[in-house]
Amino acid sequence: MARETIVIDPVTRIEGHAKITIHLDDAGGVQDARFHVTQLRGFEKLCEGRPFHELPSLMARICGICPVSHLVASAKACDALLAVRIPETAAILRRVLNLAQLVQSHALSFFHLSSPDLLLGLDAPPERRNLAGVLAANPQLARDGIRLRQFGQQVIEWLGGKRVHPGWVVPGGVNAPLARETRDRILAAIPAMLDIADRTLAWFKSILEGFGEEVRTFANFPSLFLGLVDDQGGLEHYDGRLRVVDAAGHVRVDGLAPERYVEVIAEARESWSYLKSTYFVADGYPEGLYRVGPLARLNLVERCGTPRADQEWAEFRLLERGAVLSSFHYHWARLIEIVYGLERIAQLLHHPEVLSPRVRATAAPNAREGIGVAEAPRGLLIHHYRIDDDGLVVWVNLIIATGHNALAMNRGLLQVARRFVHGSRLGDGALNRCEAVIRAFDPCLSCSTHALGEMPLAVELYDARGTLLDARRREP
Amino acid sequence: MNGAQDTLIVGIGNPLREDDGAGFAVASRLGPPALAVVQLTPELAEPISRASRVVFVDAHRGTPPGQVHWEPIGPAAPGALAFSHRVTPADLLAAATLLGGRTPAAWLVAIGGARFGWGEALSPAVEAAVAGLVERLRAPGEGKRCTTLR
Repeated sequence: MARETIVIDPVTRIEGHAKITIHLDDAGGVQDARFHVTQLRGFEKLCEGRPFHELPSLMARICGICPVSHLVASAKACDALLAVRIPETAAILRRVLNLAQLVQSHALSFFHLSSPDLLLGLDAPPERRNLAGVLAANPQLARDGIRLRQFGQQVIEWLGGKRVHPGWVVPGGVNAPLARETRDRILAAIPAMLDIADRTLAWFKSILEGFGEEVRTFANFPSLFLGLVDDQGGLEHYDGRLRVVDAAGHVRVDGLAPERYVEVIAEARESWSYLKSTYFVADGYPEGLYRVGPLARLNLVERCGTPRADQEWAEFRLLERGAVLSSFHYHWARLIEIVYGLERIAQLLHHPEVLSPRVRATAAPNAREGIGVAEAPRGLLIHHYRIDDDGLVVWVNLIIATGHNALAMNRGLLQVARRFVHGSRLGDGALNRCEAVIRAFDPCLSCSTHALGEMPLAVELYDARGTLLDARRREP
Repeated sequence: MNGAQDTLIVGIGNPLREDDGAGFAVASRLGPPALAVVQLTPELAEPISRASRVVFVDAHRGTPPGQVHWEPIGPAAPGALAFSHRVTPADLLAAATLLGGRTPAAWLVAIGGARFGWGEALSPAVEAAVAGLVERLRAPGEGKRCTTLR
C-alpha cells in the first residue's frame, strides 16, 4: 500500500482540466502515479433522442481545438447511416479540412503549449516558462507558431465558414463546392508555411541533445501502436485500414476495416478518473496498453507519401531499430506531420476534380448503425451511432484519442515520477516534468470525457493513510 | 487604411448572449479589417503588432446600459504575461510589443449592457450605442471592414 501521495493540481498548458496523484511507498519511493481527468462532458448521453443529422454539428462542439475531427468522424458515421458513398470531390475537400485542422492543432501543441519547455528548459521558473516567455526569448519562434496556427484556422474558416465549430461537412459530403479563389489563396500561402515548418524542425533537432534525460524517461517503454494507414501502408488521416504494430515494429493487426474496431480494442473504466481507458483486446487489460497519435502513426507507416515529409520521417525512424518508443518524440512527430499536412493539402488542391460542384450524396437513413473513424491530430477517433426507424439516436459511443493513450500516460507519469520525485515534497523540476510528460501526449480532455472547469492540473502528495503531505497548484 | 493598418478595431463578445455581443456586433458591422472575436486569443498579437492604434470594444456589466466609455490602456507588465486560459487586451499589447518592437496606442471601449441572457438581440439602449459607435469608427482613419473570427 502506498504510504505517501503527491498531488499536482492543476496541470498547466494542456487542453482541459486534470490532476496528478503520486503515491510513495514506505521507503519514500514512487509506487504509483495517476492522471485523473476531473471534468465530465456527457456527449454520449445528451445526443440520445436527437435526429441523427444533427450529430456532426453537435459533436463538433465537444471541443474548441479539434472540432473538425469530430465533424469528420461524425459525418462519416452518418454517411454509413445513409448507406451512401460520398462524391470523390467531397472526400477530397473533407481531407483538406481535416489536414488544416491537423496543422493548426499540432501548431498549438508545439508552439503554444510545449515550446516554453523546449526553449526555456524544464527548470526555468514557471512565471517565465510560458508563451510570453517564448515571445521574449525568441520572437521569431513565437511569430512562426502564431502564423502557422493562423494558417490552419484560416483554411478552416475559408472552407467551413468559421474557425471554431465550422459547418460545411454534412452527412453525404459537404454542403458547398470549393471556390477557385479559395483554392488559389490556400495554395499561395503554403510555401511560407513550409518554410516555417522546416525552420522549426531544424531548431528542434538542434536542441534535442539537451533533453537526453527527458527522452530517456518520458513514457519511454515498449508498447503497441495503433492507427490508420492507406492501402500502400502510408500515412492516412481520413480513411484507410487499422494497423497495430509492436515495439519491434512487427505487425500484429493489418488491413482491418475500421468499422471492426471492437475486434481489437475495448474500453475500461477506473474509479478515479472520468477518462475511459482503451486496451488491445488480445493482450487484456491493462497489459494491452497501446499508443495513438503522431508518434504512433509514424511508427505504423512505411512512408508518409509526400517528399519533404518522407525525408524527415526517414531521419526520424533512424532513432531506433524498431518503433520509436520515447513519448518525448511526439514533439518531433508533430512537426513532421505538419510538413506532411501542408504538402498533402497542396497535392489535394491540385486534384483535377477538386473544384467539381458534385459534393453531396443525399438519401434517407438506410441503416440502423453507423461507424465513422478518422485520425484526429491526437490519434484515432471513433464515432459509433445507432438510430431507430425515425432516425433518432438511441445509442452513441465515442472513443477519443486521449482515451486510447490513457494507460500510456499513466505509465509515463509513473516513469517520470520514479526518476524525478524524491522525498515527500514536490520540487519545481519534478512538478514541471510530470506536467511535461502529459503535455507530450497533447491530451484533449474536453474531448475525452465527452467543460472547462475551474481548475487546470494540480498535483497532490498523500501518505499511505491518505493524509495529504504536499500539494502544488498553478493558477491558469 | 494603409497596408500595416493605422487603426485596428477588435470587437469582443458572444453574439448568442444578448448584450454580451455588443463588441462583436460593432466589428461585424464595420467589416474587414476590423476583427469580430468571441474571445481574445494569442494569435491576435500578430495583427495588433502591425497596427498604429488598436480599439478594443466590449460590453460591460455595471456601466449604465447604452453608455459608452473610452479608456486608454497599456501593455501588461512583462512578468505578468502568461497567456494561459484568459487573455486580456493588456496581454495582447504586451505580446504585440515583443513581436513588433513597439506598443500601439490602444483604447478599451466599454458599452454598458442591460441583458446577458440567451439570445441574439441587443437591448434597445445597446443597439443605439452600437449604431452610434459604428458611425464614429467609420469616420475616415477609424477602421473599415470586418473579418469575422469565431
